[in-house]
Amino acid sequence: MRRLKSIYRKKNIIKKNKTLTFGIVLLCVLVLLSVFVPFFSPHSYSGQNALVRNMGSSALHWFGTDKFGRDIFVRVWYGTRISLIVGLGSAAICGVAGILIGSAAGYRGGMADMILMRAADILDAIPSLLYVILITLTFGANVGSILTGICISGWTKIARVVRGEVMRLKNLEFCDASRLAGAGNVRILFCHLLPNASGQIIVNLVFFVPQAIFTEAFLSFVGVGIAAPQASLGTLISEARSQMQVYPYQMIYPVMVLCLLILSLNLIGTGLEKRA
Amino acid sequence: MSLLNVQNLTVQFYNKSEIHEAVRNVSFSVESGEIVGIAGESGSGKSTVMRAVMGLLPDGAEASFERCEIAGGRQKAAMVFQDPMTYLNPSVTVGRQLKETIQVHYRRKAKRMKTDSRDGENRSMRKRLSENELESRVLELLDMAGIRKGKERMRQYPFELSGGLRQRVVLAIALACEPELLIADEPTTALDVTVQRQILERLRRISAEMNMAVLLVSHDLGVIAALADRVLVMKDGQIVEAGSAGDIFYAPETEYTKELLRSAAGKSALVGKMVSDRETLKIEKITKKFRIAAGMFYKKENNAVNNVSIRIYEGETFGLVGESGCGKTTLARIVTGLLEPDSGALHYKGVPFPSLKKGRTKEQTRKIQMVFQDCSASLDPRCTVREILKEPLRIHKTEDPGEWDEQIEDMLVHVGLQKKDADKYPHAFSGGQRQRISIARALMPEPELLVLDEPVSALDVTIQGQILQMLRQIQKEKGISYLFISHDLSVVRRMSSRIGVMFAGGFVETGKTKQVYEDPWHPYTKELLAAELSPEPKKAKKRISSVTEETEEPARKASCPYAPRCGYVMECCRKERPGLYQFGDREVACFLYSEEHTGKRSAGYRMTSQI
Repeated sequence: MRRLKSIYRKKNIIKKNKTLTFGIVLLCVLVLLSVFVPFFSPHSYSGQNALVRNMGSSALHWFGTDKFGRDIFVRVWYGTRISLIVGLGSAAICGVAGILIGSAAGYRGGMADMILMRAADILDAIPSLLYVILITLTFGANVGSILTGICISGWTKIARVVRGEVMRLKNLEFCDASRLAGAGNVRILFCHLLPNASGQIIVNLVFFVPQAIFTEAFLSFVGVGIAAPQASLGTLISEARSQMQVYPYQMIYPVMVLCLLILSLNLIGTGLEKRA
Repeated sequence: MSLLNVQNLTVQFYNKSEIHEAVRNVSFSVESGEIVGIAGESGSGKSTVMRAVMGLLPDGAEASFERCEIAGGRQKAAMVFQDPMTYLNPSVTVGRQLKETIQVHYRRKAKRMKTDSRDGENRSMRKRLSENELESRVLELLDMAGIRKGKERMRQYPFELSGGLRQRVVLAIALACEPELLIADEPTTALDVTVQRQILERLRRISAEMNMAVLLVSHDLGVIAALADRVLVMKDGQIVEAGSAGDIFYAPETEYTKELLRSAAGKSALVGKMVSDRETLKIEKITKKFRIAAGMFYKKENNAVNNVSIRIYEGETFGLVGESGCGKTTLARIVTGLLEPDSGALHYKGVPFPSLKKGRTKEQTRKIQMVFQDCSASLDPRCTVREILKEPLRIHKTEDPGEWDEQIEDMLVHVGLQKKDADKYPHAFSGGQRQRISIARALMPEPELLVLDEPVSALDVTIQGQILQMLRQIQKEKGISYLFISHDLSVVRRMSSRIGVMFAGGFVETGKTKQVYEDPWHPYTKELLAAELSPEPKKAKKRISSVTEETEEPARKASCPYAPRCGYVMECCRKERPGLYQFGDREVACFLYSEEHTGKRSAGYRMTSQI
């Protein structure tokens, strides 16, 4: 009953917050399309067909075909899938790492804080582009390499947020109170500090997703990301670049989807920020 | 015509679809030069009235009135708020902030002058004041507000000043506008009693010298009694009684005013008898220093608690009084184990208790619990009351978890809440109710000693009374000992059988409550007692007029910390720090009671007060 009530309350909040609602609906649509379109479409993302090269939009190929005769509609949604995996995956990894390291640094303070935060500074000082290039060079240009590349320095931002929040909260009296109740450090951290910091953490994580997606798209665009025939939104845009003036639609469709994806995530982030 | 005239003022707050009437049909007026006090509990709409008068209502509030005007416009009025730190700019020096106000005020005046005399004689003022003129005006204002060494103070930032000085700076800024009406909203609530007395005295003098009307808002009837000529009593957004100070305080008509006065006087002592002579807590010569980063390379040390020893017996209440910053809370945290003392020992029933960091066991932690001062910070906002109360059970109890809910609900009823409150979040409660929850949480692990750190300081007088009554009831039933900490002397007097007066980290006097209050031995105790404002205009007015202005010179390290403020200071006081001299069950830290400085005493000599 209590649970029902709290769900109802959350629903109410979503109803009132139009930015958040719109962002969530948009993201859901994009996710569903990216999951089901490559699944049910008669075309495959890599199947080439020399007969239908560079066709415009038609009933058969909604977004047209590229210079190898591949269906752009399928490729775009397949690319969205990869973008989402990169975005959500890196947010999840960075989130876990950032929360653990950040709360350790913030809660312990002193020397531990000093060492962890300086390590973060050093990792941060090197551009993440460099990590990705190095890793794709050694481990091949696949999703895993890009994820690793983004995450190597990505956690630092989340860790800093968590650290700050934990440092602020750990001095409040409710922590002392629970310490007097006999609670240990782990309990105080996970039952009192992190739930109170969750608003900040979630907002930062949500904003992290579009950033990661954008990084991946950018890397693929400059040619160090996902390798052909796999397609991410970035590679699609990059491939279409050579024929931009002749067949602009080949670029416009993936760009539009990328924009919508990032817009939806930013809307969710802004909506959550307003609520937090 | 009166200076401020308010007729039928109503203020409504719009919250989504709800309308809340905070002030209803309030009418009053203030004549020039008079001091009007507005008394009432929190939530009675006092501050809302003031904000409506000044046009400072927040968004979503709407004021309607027949008449609400200040003769000469709003620029003739100035306002002083409760917490000076929130509206002094922390990154700008005090002098700069004052100069700004003076310049703005001057420019406005010059402009008005110009428009007034456009067709008359050519009486033009310069556009702005020069830096020299500004500075002399700043010094004049600081002096008026009772700040000495204005030249030095001008260059300081607000955070470098003590609370009392900050409030004076704010007063100076308010005076820079040459107001005819000063609205003071709880001007001394955040200050210590001794400082409060000085600020009130300042206000009274300025009002008399400048013929400035003061509208004084306070929940503290003592403050109102000390200053006001006329008093309005507010309740639930309405004025329930209005009249001269004498009428209100000596012959109140409405039941509500009578009740307020009764709780303010706090006559009923709640002191329990000493139940036993078995010692529970013994702390011996505890010292705690805090290192403050004073510069880049050197650190300053601050003696928060200096060589303090206390004994607390089973079932008794030991009261700890002192002004803010004297180390009361530090001592409380050491007792509970949250802080590690630098030296000294803490024994509980003969067993040494280490601090939490040094391995105080769960069983030991359970025995000493604490109720914190700020009940909004001491309850986790993300947990329901049930979860908050369940935490100690989960950690300590081995019994069946099925009984927990029942225990929690019993405890809620015990502290005067309802069973159904268990599933609410802390923000759904008022301050008094939250403090009840805090007390319930502290009682959950069945402690034997409860440290109460200013448990009622943030509450209204009537609620204070209820909470104290409840604490006393709990003590009677469970036989636990209290270490009761407060800056409020009347509260401590009501609760404790023995008290210790703290000053600058150490005890200056300890003894039985009655003895200490009736016959203070240490000059500081005397000053504290004298600063207490009772809700009786005659007494309170006399008290603030006999005030001595504070000297802000810090005491030298190896001297009596009270020496700079002491009226009985001797040569030796500036050279060494007095220890505690014991006479029967009283102790006092003052050289007036020492043999080496006041001469040998015969063996049968009975010590009496030397001041």
